[in-house]
Amino acid sequence: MWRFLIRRIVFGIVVLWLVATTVFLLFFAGPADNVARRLAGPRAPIEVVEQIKDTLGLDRPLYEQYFGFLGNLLRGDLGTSFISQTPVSTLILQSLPGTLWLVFGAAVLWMIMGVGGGVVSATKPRSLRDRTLTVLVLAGISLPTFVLGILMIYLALSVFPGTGLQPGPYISPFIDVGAFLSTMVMPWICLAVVQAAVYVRLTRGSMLDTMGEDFIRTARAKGVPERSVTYRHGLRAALTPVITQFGVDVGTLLGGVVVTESVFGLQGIGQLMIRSVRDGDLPVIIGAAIMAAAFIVIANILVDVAYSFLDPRVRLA
Amino acid sequence: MSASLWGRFTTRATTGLRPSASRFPDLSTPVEARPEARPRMFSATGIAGLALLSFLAALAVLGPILVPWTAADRDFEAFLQPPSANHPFGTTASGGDLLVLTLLGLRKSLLIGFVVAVAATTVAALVGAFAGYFLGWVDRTLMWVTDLLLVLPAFLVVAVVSSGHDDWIALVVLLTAFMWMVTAKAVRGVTIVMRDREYVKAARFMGVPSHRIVLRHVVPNLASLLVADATVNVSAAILAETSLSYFGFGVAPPDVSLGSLIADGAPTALYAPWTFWWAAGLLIALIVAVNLVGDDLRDRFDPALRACA
Repeated sequence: MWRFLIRRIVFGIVVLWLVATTVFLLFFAGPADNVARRLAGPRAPIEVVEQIKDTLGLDRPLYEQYFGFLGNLLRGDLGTSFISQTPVSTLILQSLPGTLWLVFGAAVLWMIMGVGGGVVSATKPRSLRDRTLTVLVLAGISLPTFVLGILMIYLALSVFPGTGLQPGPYISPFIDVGAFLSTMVMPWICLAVVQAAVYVRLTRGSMLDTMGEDFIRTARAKGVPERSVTYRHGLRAALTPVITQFGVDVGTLLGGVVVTESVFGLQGIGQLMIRSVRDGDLPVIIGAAIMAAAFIVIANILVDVAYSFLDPRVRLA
Repeated sequence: MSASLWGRFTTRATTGLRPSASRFPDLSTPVEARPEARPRMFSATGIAGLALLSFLAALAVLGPILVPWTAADRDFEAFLQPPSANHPFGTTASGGDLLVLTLLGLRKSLLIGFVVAVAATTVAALVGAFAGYFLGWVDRTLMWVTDLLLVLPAFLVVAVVSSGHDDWIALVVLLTAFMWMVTAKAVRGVTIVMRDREYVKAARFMGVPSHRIVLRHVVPNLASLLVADATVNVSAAILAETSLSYFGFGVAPPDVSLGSLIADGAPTALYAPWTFWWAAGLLIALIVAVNLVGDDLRDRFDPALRACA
């Protein structure tokens, strides 16, 4: 177990180093003038371009810039935003709570809806409720998040104005729970609906596979109640692929729920990314990219650990 | 059957798929009662999806030609007007005809979606088949690249790089670059199973060069998997393109996409709903159609793939 963990963590660090290198090359490789021009934007005056070249040391050889970049990264220094002159790490930390609340709230919702729906579907395949769920799943995966979001705002503002739900910036629940909920409920549902559809499908498929296995027949043969067979024996084993997907999804989303955050005007990592891309704020873009990758790497490690708990047949070596 | 979960875990690291005899439709065994009956290609829902998709494609190709307005036209007597005989979909705040704009957006989104899906699936087939056939360092290198691209935040990179290019071809290349990885892993898994089949061995012992075996014997036999995955990739590509265009990082003016139209219409959706709903409705219809076809193909060819890949 420990050897496995250490190996995965070392491997994860190598992946992050590769990501950092790729991002660096993507933005800094090429003639200094081109790079400075790209950062300044096509309409910036030549003095600004020269100034950027100067402050960033774009004239230095590429390997020198690269090692400077890696050195700063190792010290946890992600640089300073061109636009707001704030350290990138501060900007990211400011935006993180909005994204964290959004993702975790939505994750709870979509796991309940998705796994619940999948189990309901799989215990009675081809029944009316299974077919109804299949149609709902198709609707869920076919609704683009930004369309669903705008639709929800439209409904909340013009059709059901009494609900008090409204789009708006993130407010900490420790300051004002009411305001927190009124801005968060819609993004939670919006994100969860799209995700839940995928999970219903995944859980259903996995449950159907598992319920045909020998150990389920054994459990039934020894007189375990059907309810217990479904949940204790079936669902537990069937959750393995669901957990994989869950880990990857949460990891990816923590790196910025770009669409949902923007549609609802929630200040999170996704909004920070959009803003920095619009402004050409390179340090923030690079910082956000590396952080997003780190979340995915960490999520993958956690998923592998979770395996060994869920499925007794899996032993980590 | 008892090996399936086990297989699912172990193969995640090694082959990506469990070896299963039923992965490909067995065309030698009749599906229906009569021995001469060929297996049906589509179910009722698949046919419905195909019909809707054909209709939308025809609309996208022919529509803009038949409408008397063009994308650049401005009707200075109708700003933000609801649908009328003159403008069946209404007009934008600057007097543009929404019917022609929506149809052009549909055309662009459909085109980008299809081109990206075909290109991404081609890349996936080549990378996966070469990695799975050669194994060893070829496999390790290709899978490193695959895993790295899976970790890179695609939206951010595509948004940054594409904002430097106004060309929609550049957008296609970028979207392709971030869309082939999952399919490649699935292809690799199937190839690892396939490389031990008799016909591949026979070709090898006959002295056929390896790259030729991959291109002539392995890839063609993956056709069913690839067709199903390409279709799923179409809806993913359309969603990715429209989301990027929604933020202004996708297709650049004067080109329009359903995503950019939805973004333009969203602020006025409350009091001028026609600026938003036509584009939104067509986008949903398009994705539903592609998903209906894709689900059908996937159920036919490969019921367990998504769960493992």
